[in-house]
Order: sequence, then C-alpha cells, then structure tokens
Amino acid sequence: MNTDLDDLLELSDFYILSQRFEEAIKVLKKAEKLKKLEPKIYYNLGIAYEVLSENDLARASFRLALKLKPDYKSAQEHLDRLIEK
Amino acid sequence: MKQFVVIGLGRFGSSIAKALSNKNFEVLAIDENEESVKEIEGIVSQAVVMDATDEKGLRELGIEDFDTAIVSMGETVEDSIMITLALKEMGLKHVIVKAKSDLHSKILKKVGADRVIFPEREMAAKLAESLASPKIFDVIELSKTHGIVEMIVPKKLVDKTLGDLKLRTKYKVNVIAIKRKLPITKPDGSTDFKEDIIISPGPDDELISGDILILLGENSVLEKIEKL
Repeated sequence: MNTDLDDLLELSDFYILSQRFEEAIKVLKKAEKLKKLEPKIYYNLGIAYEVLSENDLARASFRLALKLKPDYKSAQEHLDRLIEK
Repeated sequence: MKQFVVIGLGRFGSSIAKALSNKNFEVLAIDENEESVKEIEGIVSQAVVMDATDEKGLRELGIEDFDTAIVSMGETVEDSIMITLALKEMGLKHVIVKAKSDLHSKILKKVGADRVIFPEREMAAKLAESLASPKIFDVIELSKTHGIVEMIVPKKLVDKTLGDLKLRTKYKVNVIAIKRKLPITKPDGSTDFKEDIIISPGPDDELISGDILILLGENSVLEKIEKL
C-alpha cells in the first residue's frame, strides 16, 4: 500500500489546482522523503516550480521525473519548453 | 498578405523563414546550397536553389514585388553587400540584413539597408539582462528613463489586489497586463497549467504567486518594485 504517498500526491494536486503552489511544494518535499521512486512527485514539483518561474528547479524536477519514467511525455514536453526559454 | 524573401538559409535565415511561414506569410527562400533548400521545401511557399548575387535571376523570380527581404549570408560579407545593393536598386522597400561586424554594418547602411541586425549580439545582450535580473524576463525601452518590463510578481505583492497596492498613485507605475498560469486537470487526471493573460486588470484583480506582471513606468521605480 502506498497510502501515505497517494494522500500526499492527492493533496499536492489539490494545492496546485487551488493555486497554492508553495504549499504544494512543501507537501511534495514530504512525499520525496518517503523514498518512493514515484515520478509524479517530481512532475508535480516541476509544475509548481514552473508556475512560480523557478525555472532551474523546474528543469531539475522534470529531469528527475524522466529519469524514473523515461517515456513521461508531459514531463518531456515541459522540459523541452523550459530548455528553450 | 505580406510577402517576404529570405536570402541565405543558414541557422538564422532558415529559422526566420520558418517562423514567418508559421505566421502564414508568403515566404520565398533562396540559397545556393541544395541541402539547405531541401530542408525548408514544403515549409515555405517557395524554395529556390540559386546564387543570389545573380541579379538577373533575382529579377526573374519577381523579387521586386516582395514587401521585405531578409539577407542572411553566413560567410561572405561581400555577397551580402552586393545583394543588398541589388535589392535596393530593384526598388525593394524594406531590406533587413544580418551583419557580421560594425564595419560590415556601416557599409550595408551606405548601400541602402533599411535595417541591420546582429542576432548574436542582440541575443547576448538579452541573455545578459536576464542573468543580471532573473526576476525580469523582458524589457522594452520606451525612452532613456521609461520602459515596459515583464516581471515575476514580488512576494510582498502576492494576495493583494491592485486596488490595495495603488501602484499608479504610489509609484506612477501602470499594470498593463498580468500573465497567469492557470492550473488544469488533464484528461488522464494529471495536473498541468494553461497560460492566461488579463489585459488592463482592474482594482479588484488580486495578484497570486507565479503571476508575471507587465508594468510600464520609470526604470528606477521598476527596479525598486523588482526588489520588493
């Protein structure tokens, strides 16, 4: 069971959709500490950082998501766009 | 519809030809390198292999009917000067030429170029600007003292309405627009965002984290706001 992780990811989705990006980042940092190799943690982190224009952190997060899931299309699209910025 | 002729299909020339075609303009692309022409065929309206210093050949293509020519010759300074001269003699109203040096630029202006550009130099200046002020994305200088900047909303302004902030009365700064990334849920359930723009925001518009403000005002004041 991944209940803790799932809860944290769900909460991060909620914070992102509520435009509370800093809170989403805090929750995702907690999820990261669970040491589960879940690409969505890094994808959501990338989204939150990108919205906040923290582009270096966003790029690093999308890269981590892609390392865990090389065919993560959305993460690749965001990374490509950020590299050309 | 505006018509453009792009002469020289190196990195810059092919990029501008593609970008203009994407904006649905009619583009004639010319280069003497067959490979370069092949790469752009099907993207632009017409792509031709020819030596653009051949004035007769240019006339046969009906170049004089085009609105704007972009001359982007990679290697040969002489060729770009000759082509610019020929285009102006043919009566082209707007000739934009990529220059390699200040001397090259000076000669191009003498032979009638309407605009001389240094893409690398301009890009370098822009990059330096963005590295120096990471919170500022774009700057348009209106005068020596005033400009328009694109700036990440400073933390102190977040969760406040424009009415509360009174930027116009306190700083004589106008908020022209707010660029906002709106979170969405994609069909697969994942989160993403789409970019939105609020033009001429009103006093009730509240700023949120991640907003990008487009501000018009005095440069020194804009710098102060960036540091808030």
